[in-house]
Amino acid sequence: MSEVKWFESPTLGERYCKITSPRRPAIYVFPKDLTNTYALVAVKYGSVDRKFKPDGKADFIEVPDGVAHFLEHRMFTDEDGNDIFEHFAALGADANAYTSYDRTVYYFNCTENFEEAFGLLLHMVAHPCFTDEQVSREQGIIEQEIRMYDDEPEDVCYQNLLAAMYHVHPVRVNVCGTVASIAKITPGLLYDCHRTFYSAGNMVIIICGRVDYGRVAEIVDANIPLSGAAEPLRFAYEEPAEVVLRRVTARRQVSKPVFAIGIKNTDISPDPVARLREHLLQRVLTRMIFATSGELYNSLYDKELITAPFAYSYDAVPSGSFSHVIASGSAENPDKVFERTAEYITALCRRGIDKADFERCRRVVLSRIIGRFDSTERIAHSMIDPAFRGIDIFEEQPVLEGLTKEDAEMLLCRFYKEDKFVLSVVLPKGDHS
Amino acid sequence: MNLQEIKISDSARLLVVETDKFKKNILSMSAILPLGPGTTPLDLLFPKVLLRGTASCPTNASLKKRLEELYDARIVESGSYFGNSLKIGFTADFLSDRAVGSPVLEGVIKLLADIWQRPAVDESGLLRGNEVNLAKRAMRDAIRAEINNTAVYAANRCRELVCAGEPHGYSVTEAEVEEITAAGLTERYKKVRDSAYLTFFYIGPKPAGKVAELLAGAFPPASCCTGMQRPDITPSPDGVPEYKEASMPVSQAKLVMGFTTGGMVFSDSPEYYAMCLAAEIFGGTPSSKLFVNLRERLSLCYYCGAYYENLKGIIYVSSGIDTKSREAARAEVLAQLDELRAGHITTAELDAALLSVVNSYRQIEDSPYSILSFCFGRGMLGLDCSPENFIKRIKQVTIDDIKKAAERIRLRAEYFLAARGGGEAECDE
Repeated sequence: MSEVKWFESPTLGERYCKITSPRRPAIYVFPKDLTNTYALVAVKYGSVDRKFKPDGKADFIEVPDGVAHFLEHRMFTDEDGNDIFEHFAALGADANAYTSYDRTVYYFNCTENFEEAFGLLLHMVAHPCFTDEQVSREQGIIEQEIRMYDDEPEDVCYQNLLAAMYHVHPVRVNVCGTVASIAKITPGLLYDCHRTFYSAGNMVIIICGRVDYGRVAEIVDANIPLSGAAEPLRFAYEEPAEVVLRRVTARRQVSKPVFAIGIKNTDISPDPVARLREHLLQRVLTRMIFATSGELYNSLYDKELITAPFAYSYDAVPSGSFSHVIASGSAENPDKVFERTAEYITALCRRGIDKADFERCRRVVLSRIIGRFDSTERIAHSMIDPAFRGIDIFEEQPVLEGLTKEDAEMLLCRFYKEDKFVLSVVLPKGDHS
Repeated sequence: MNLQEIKISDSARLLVVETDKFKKNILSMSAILPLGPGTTPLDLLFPKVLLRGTASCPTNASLKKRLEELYDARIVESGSYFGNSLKIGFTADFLSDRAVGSPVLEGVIKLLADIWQRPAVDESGLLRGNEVNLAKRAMRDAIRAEINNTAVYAANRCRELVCAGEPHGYSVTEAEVEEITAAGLTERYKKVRDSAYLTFFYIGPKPAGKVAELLAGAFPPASCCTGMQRPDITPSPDGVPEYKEASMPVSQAKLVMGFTTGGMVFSDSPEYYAMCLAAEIFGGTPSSKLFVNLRERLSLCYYCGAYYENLKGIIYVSSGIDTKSREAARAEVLAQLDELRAGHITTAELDAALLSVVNSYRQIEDSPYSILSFCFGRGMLGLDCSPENFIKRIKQVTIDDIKKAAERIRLRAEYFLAARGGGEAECDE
């Protein structure tokens, strides 16, 4: 028997429902009167899940890096060895998937044949088929993917930054793994990981568009076996508060140095609502510190230390196993940019935040929250974090409105500690400065 | 979807798709200019300088803060090639007045008019020298940074080969940027401002007449405009294939092949729709011939796809491969093209490509940016702007039409960027 609970936001003029039933994944249906319908299955299984107790086993096992991503690639083959992309294509549905640190997400959008495509997606996720020959072929494809990323200086810079920030947490390892680690993957290992993580209690289903929510649960029941398995037991890494290195470099084919500044934080609240609050505060704070309207960017630009805006983000997974701020760009002298950034943030901690800046940047974050409700794709993906956290996505707006300048100042001083700042640089080849 | 056109003045018009579906709306402003050395470096640079400050918001910080106050409105400059022409201008996106209960559109129009007509200048009336120099530096950095992304680098080199001698084959050089002065840039900016015909495009809930009224008030007629400038979409001609290769110290090689299509550019002819579908079956989707064969069957690459540049009548095939797989990859690309030319297209391939195209065109109305992207080119060329018409026409394409379209596809250039070893070992400090 399903329970259907509706959530509404009168200010946004939007609503959605959550359909729950024992032993079935939680289903979220967000009605949207657009031409396309978007559906996804988000499995709480990502690259950081490399040490865990397999379903029914007493001991932890550690798997090679890159298994979650490899598994995602191999899920697009059916029992007869056929490419499932072709089945989606035959329905006019555009399907794809991605793997990140804490999740694997399978999705499609379509303008017709929704029920068939949705059934296909669910069936695919629940019914894997791995053979030696397919695994061997996939190793060749993923090797090319790894090589492609190895040529992208921003990606290299980012990966090195995480490795310099984290001692033991697997976020320090590339989602794809390495050519050597994926060579160890076998069909048996993929089946073990699938059995452990692809259970009803460890995934959510989200649909946004014109859809009959009553039919959705029926299609789920027809394609995903009911499962009483709880969330798998993951190994809890004891990550030290200190960073590994303050500066790390590599060399690649770049016109001028590429840099990323990371600020690590291991003091993470266990409460999901507190983490949401921190997430929103960080969006306001990072805007204030790094945006093109801010003092830091403009002083660096005017002094010709940077020529393009920072890319910046606060990254934290809903499970709360890591959180950090990263700001990146390119500069002839990344060390000077790093030094000025650290000085600016330290000074900001001392002098406090300007109230007008805080209010303006909060307005920006609020506007972005409102703006994302135009797209079925953005809505569906935005709902994954709240669904994993077990909170209502519409809570974001009132929580944001309740934040104060003082909240931001407290977080600023608690989080942005100078000894937690790390600089990663990718230098041009041949430049040995 | 109904596209309305309203004349604002002898030097401007407004295209409007009136819709209340979106919380976020768009207003773009574009001018069509000649493409090539001399003017293009200036035309790509001055909009960047204009966005650094206006008479009323003279610093970059004050201008960006004004945008943030307008509920995170964004105004970005949008210089790009449009066939053999250059399109310059700005695109603004912003929340609708209704979503925030405030007159955001009026604020955006006022700011856009200030940026275009009243930029911050020095005491001599020139665009400020320090801002010009900083923008030049940023542009030079962007040109140099092309090597950071080898896929883009290789694609641009292939474009230069396919379109050699045509405006579309031109790329701005660092030397050209270095030569720009504040006086020269100001002179060019004023000339464009006073002579260019502006096309505005608004997608949002405000009635078209009201938007036109606001724009007419903010943008007086340009004093020297001689009328609308139509873009030049002369197709690239067929020719003897050109081959070029280079190497870089990277891990993965890039192979880009450029094919002419017998002059098949953007139009409303049945042959054009057949070419769109041919490109889709060739390499447009994960079920296309290139993806299925090069990646899935032969494991030669992580990506391999075809892109139809319909304003020049060129199909580009791009892939990331091992250096040693060059011959195998190019042979397979040509073999799959032969399959297409021979009409060896299964019903499943045709249906998948058709459904993919139909699915994506039906969704155009679901996003203001998709509407802008779909309607702008058609609006500039005076073509029908209805996705329904496109879908209807493409559904009429047969396998025989695709075979005939594929027969027009000719290899024109091949650029290969070999990989001679990737990253050096990291040196932790």
